[in-house]
Amino acid sequence: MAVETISLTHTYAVGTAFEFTAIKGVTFKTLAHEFIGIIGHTGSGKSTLIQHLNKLLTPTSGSVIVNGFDLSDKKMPMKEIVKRVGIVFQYPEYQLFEETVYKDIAFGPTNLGFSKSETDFLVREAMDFVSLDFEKLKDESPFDLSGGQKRRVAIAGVLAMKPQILVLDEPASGLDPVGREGILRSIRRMNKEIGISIFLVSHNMDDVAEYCDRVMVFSKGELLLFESPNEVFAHADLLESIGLEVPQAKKVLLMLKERGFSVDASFYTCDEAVAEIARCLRQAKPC
Amino acid sequence: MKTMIRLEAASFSYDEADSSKTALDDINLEFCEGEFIGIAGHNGSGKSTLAKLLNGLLLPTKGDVTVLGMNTKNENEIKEIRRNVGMVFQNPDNQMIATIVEEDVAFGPENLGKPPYEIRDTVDESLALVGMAEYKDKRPSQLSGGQKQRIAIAGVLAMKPKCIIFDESTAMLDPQGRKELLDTMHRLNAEEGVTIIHITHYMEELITASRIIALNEGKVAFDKTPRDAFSDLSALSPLNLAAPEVVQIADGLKIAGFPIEGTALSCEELVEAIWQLKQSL
Repeated sequence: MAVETISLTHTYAVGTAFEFTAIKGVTFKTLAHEFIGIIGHTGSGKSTLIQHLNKLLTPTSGSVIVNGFDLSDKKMPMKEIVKRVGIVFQYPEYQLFEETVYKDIAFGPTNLGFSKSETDFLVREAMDFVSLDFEKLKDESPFDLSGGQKRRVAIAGVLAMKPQILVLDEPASGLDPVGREGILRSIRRMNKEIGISIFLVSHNMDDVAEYCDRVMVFSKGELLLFESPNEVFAHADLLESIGLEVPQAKKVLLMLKERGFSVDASFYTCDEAVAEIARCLRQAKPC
Repeated sequence: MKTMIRLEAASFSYDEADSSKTALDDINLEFCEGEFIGIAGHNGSGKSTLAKLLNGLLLPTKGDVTVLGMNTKNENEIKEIRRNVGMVFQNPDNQMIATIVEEDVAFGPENLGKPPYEIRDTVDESLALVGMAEYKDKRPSQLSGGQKQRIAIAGVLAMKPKCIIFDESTAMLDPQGRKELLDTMHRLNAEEGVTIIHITHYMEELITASRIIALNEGKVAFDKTPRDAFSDLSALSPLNLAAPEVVQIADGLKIAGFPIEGTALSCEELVEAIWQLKQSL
């Protein structure tokens, strides 16, 4: 599903001493099935933006259009919006509340009016997508699970509502490298296999480089860049000046280039960097 | 070097009747004053349990933990132990209690019953140490994540601890916030001699540690210098740990037939090593 914003601006506490404009004049257009990364320092407006995508916040000015529907249209029922756009907040495991994993994941679809058998199917499907064993875990208390498993249950709870757009705020933070990769791979599968559009908010540039089709860069409430990872990381100086960084592989290539090495510094993943450096060394080697 | 904290055959179980609930199993470790220790391990490996044993938030179900010679099981000394070993958690919002920065930092020394003029000095000094002096009148809600974490550190510093434990304190921060926090940790370690114990999933944050202790299934998997720890990547993967990207690139080059000399830990070192290799071809 495509998402579009036109001059989206949000100001908190209008008319008080605490008035603060969190995002200013943000305009972008995403395509259906895209995997979008959102990066920016703390307080850059990322969270404010994503809360507009399912109308948890309404614009102070400007508009948000999801799949051709303007969210500010009063005729559009909230249920329809929630069905389309699922948001997984930071540390979603804090939102788990039910007695069993099954009940927790079933909460969303039940509230959306899905029948018992439909809900059962959705819970199974969602658990399968986040690699949780249905038979083994359905009757467990979500609070007895490990951190990574709790996180998966929470994501499954949103996935079970069958959103066409899934927004995730730092879904991998606090997880070890293996847990991190597991979650991100699940998200990639949802994107590739069922075509859910993904918005991934992340502080981890390596993850953004690895998984996203296009990346939005926010600073001080403004959308500075919206390009492919390759193009975004070419702006190394700009990223560093707004408190972000480039992937280490990219940094190494840039430093080598600066020292007069004839490397192509447009690569940014580890494997690409190895191949590129090896290529240059091979050229340097007298045959 | 003087011993800061010692664990002797320390075990901890969340349920002694159930062996699957054993979080730490027979740990023997010694942390010395002035060290910068990195602790790594996958989720559920026992890192946070270990952190809580170090200042008596949890007591070992078997064995002993002593801080500057004081046993954490000794109720008369627990206050002194906690004053000496401060802790900074993952989410700074859980650690802020006052509505103004300087009041938050003053909370600790106020509870120690210090006279007001002394508290004033301690608060100013602590805020200066973390580079947040100019924010003393601000509300915590006006600060960024990295700034909040530094206020949390100032609150701990106001207790004049000899050791600070950072339990995944960088996990929620953006790259800039992480850098600020790491710089602060290193400065406290180098200039004030504070012993630092840094628990993290980000291995690149540990390349400057004096040693890295990796936990796995509640046991110490290794206790090595960063250079030794990253010289053998095959030892890391069974522990679910990932080497810093720089180390992975060097490893990839070795596999591709370009033996990079030594174990480069930073981008600068790797670039230098590649340069040297090129000269020798």
